[in-house]
Amino acid sequence: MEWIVELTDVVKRQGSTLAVNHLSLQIRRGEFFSILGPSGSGKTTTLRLLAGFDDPDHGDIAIGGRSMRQVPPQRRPVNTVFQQYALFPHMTVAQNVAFGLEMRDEPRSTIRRRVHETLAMVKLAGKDNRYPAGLSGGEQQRVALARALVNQPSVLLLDEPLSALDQQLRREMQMGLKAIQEQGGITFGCVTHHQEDALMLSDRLAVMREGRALQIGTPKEVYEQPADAWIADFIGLSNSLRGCLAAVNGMSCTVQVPGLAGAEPITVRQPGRWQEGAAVILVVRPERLRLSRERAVGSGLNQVRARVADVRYGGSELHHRLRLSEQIEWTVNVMNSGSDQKPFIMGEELFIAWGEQDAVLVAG
Amino acid sequence: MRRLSAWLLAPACLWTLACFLLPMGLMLAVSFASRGPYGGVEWTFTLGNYTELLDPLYWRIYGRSLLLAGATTALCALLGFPLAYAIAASPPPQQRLWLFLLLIPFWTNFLVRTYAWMFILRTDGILGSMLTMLGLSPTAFEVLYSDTAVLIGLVYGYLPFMVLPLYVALERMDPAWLEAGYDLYASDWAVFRRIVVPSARPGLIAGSVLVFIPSLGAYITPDLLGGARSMMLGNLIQHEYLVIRDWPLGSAASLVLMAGVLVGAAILFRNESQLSGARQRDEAASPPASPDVTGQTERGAA
Repeated sequence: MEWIVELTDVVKRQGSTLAVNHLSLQIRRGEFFSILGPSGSGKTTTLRLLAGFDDPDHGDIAIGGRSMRQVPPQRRPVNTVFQQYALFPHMTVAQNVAFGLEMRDEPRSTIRRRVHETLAMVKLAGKDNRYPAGLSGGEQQRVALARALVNQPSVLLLDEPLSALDQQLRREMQMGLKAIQEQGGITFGCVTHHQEDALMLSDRLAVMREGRALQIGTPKEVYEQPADAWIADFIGLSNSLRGCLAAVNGMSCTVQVPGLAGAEPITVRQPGRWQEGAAVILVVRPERLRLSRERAVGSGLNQVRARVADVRYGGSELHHRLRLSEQIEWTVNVMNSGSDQKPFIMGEELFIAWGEQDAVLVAG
Repeated sequence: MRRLSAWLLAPACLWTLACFLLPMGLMLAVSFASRGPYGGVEWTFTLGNYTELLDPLYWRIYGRSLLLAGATTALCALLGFPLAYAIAASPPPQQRLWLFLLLIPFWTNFLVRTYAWMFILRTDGILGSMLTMLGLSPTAFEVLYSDTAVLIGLVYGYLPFMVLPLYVALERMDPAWLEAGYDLYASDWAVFRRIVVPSARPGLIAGSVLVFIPSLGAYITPDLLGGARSMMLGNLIQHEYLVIRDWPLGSAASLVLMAGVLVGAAILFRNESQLSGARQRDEAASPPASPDVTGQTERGAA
């Protein structure tokens, strides 16, 4: 069977609000699935429902084709890596990792072997007899991972797995998690507010807000074809223009943006479902934009005029704040490649250009 | 700065010297002296007081004291644990209320409260007549002036000393540890035994020490609630000092009690500090927040 986790119309109340609001989603066997959302979006509640710490008020959760109604956490084929790791402070690393196997009454020799193997897998060999308090954040994280993985769950749940790590450790753990997933056998269900983690790690992800899944898709789909303006804004940086659909011609849409200097119509190539006259928001990612002093030549290019409001030096990138009109301000990051182009300075007039397939339209 | 802190320490040092060390030294000296014919102290050196304490006559008293103090500690732990757990698990404003209620009895003198227990435990007292009314007590209700009454009184008196440290330990317990336990297939009992109890261990030890030591030397409770045969160490000492007026023997008994308690506490704390020492050694050994060696090889491969 393709789906290992199925949530069907799940509702969870918290006080007077719906923390999870008629949520339905499926997780494929063996995939890395993330739920991405800001705090208060209901993603952690969803994870707790999956782990069995809370029960849904309505709807059903099935894991491995079996309904989890009335099934306590002890008897679910899932293990959790907790946000603050929740390592048992009075147990050594090895005792922490052995805990689940001991509770399942595995023979001692099996426990010893599996603990040893798992600690080696997370690169903690030799730290068996240390206590959690004596480990660095990254090491604690790996103990938490080992403690869950050693039980070979069908689904491994991760609650903000990398949020407490600094940038470098975070990269390493991202690769480590992917490597474990690629060994096969375990499905990953991850909850995070960190968009880079979600994009880098996930095979598919759900963007969650106010208890609902707004969009479910691959990282590429969600980033490049956001379902609405909120998602476009939440994931990555985006620049937007509010306008009205002047013409729809097959795959090509023409957008009229009021208040824009030199208001040429902007064309966007995007499959239909749009009606002429509809209010739309045009979204372009900063990395798709090019800046130049002269009007670029070429077909299928959109160009708008702007004035440089601010330039910030950001190491690998130069961050430009550009003013398109009184109200509209965009951010454009240019790689600091030290190339031919003379840096733009504050107050300078320039052109912003992007291809007609580089922007997306969402309902305005 | 150092001069100042020396001055600040001075009053406490003087107080300890005058009110603690001096009398202790005096007691030590007296315990090696002998009793005068009319109850005075005669300064002739003897070990006789200590050898007399080995007399089987006193063993019953030591035995009863240890047994009652041990039973008191066990009962306080048994009663105090659920109470401390419930307080620690309740929302913070309620926690403050429960702790406040727990401490209210201390506003009344312990002697007065012990008298109150005499009224409760008397044969025709509150508890007895209630049981008779309910038809639960076919024979006469005889609890007062027995070891049972002493035990009830001691548990009542020292329960807060068990609950408070337990509460402090349990309050610091992360609820996520329990969830992690359940997540790793532990039953309620296994979570309690493997996670809750070890987390409460420092509180349990502190509470036990705070209950056991004063129970061992308890005086008022066995004196008022116990019978003629319920003498405990505290009463023995009081008896020697004030009734028989054998100060040297009383001093020797006091010192033996104190030494016994000290040795017990030392063993207990040594074991405990070995355990936490191991954890702290780990803490000291780990470089704070530095990228670890395995991490670096991972980066190298990338």
